[in-house]
Amino acid sequence: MSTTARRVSLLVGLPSLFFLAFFLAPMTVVALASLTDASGNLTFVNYARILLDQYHWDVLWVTFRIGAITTIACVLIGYPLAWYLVRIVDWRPWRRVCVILLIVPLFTSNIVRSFGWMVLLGRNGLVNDSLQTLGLIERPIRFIGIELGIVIGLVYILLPFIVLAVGNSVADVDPSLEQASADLGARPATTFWTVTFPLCLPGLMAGAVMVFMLAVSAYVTPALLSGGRITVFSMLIFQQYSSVFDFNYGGALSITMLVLTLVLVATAGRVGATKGA
Amino acid sequence: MTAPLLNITKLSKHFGRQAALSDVNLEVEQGEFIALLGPSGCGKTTLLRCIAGFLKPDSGSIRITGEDVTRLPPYLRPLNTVFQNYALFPHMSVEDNVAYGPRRRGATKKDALSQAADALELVGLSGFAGRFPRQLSGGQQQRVALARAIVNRPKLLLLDEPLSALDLKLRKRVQIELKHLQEKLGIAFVFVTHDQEEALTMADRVVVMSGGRIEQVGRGEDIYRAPATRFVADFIGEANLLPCSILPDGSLMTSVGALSVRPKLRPKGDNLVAVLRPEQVSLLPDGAMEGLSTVPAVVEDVIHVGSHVMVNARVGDTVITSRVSGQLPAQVVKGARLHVGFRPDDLHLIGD
Repeated sequence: MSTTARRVSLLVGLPSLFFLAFFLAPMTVVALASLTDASGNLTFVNYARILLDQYHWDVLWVTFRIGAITTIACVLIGYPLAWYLVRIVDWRPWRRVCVILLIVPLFTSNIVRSFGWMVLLGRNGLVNDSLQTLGLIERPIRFIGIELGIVIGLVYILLPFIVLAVGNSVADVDPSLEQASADLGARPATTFWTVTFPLCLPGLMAGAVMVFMLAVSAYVTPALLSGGRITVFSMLIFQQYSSVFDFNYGGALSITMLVLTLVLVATAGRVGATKGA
Repeated sequence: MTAPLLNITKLSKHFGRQAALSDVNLEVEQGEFIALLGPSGCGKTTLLRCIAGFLKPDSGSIRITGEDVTRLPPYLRPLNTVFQNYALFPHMSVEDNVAYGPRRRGATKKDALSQAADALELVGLSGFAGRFPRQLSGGQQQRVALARAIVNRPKLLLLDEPLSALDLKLRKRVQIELKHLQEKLGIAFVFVTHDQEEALTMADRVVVMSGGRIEQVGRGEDIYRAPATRFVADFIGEANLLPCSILPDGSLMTSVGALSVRPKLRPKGDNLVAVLRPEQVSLLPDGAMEGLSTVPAVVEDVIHVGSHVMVNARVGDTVITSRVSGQLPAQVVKGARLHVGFRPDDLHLIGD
């Protein structure tokens, strides 16, 4: 074998090996576990337990609903924010500060940030106190223990992802395309909806998919902000692995979640693609 | 008296402290083909973008058929633009790109598409309606950009170096096609280019710009024969520039010696320049010739350029270039002593 051929096979082989070791292998272990019983025999009983039980479907529905609402909220808040950063701010230092403010929270733990929201959103938290002082509400609003609290926490944590994804795609839109649109008689709003927005759509979709995946698989934030009243799917998985030690059933829960998420994302992508074209 | 199609008065634009346009005045008539010509950074593109409405001038006004459009946004101006990079919408098919303008002006989808089909036929791209811009060659994209602009039947079309991305052969062909199309449609074109040959080939009038100012406006041949400034003389074609002054007796003192020429035109200023085109300079191996002013010279370089030969001859501190088409006399070799001659009438004087 020549040195060139060896180098090429190394270049191709190492990344493949990395993927095998760190992504495929653990997934295979989980998948195999989900298809066996405690004594190692092949069985579908774990899946039957999940799919035939209405409780699991209820939890899935709650999980995906929280994921969807979080994604929509992230898009609605993140798109204008990204637009502001890329198009409105023309003083570079301020843009840099904004980007840093956006990214710095990612360096701290989810646990800390979710606890922060527990404090802020609690009965006597800053939010309720302020609203009461301002006279906008008479009694404290309940945030913790309802889906709204979880959504607030998740939106806060996941917003940077969509802002960065959208920001990049907005920055990539060639200004001469918008000028051409104006030149052809389109008012700014028309130009936005017929030219700019469609061209940003791939970035927006990528950001939305990422947010949705992270939202439905989040554990810490829902666990802390649910106040023990709401169960999302990742909590069921966590229970099986950490408390019940049933790795087979836990594995089946994980795979079910994974497959359903991928199906949902693929369907959304298909729908988005046909609409966009 | 009807107002000119485009009337630009005292237009100025600064970028920071840099003056991109200063005191630009220009009139364009209906159906005229105008080329804005100049080196990069001369302000020609800035002027075009001001006319299109993408840039706001600091002062001055732009009128289209008498109406002041200086403060109007681009979408309210009765003109269209062909962009340098074509700026085709990548997410729309060719026909949707072309139908975009008619749609914005309120045409039904069906009407807009039929207008688009007509425009595409006009530029010879009928079979390409359903393609996407990325599936087309550069030349085809350029035609789509043109169709997308002319489908709106504007009175004025702005073109920002639309041919610069095409290869030489194709560019030559498109120049002719574009000129024919312009005559056929009767739309006034304002065409930005840095290629003087392109400007001289296509335009009815050429506007030569430098440093944010208009140096000269005129027909291509007039600009070539009688450049108004030193810059124009140097920029358009090749030129021998001979510093000179007019002696008290009315004759001319040049850097190649006194000439018994009495110039008809006397520009202002003391530091004059005489312009002599290389093809106006004859090489005279046998000395003087009837009707020509001659000076002795030494051949410095003989450069063969395919269709013709450029000969550099030194006269004192000055090098005079002569363009010889056809057979080069055998005596003209490097180091040869001979005379260079020119018709006194060919000397064009420029003031400061």
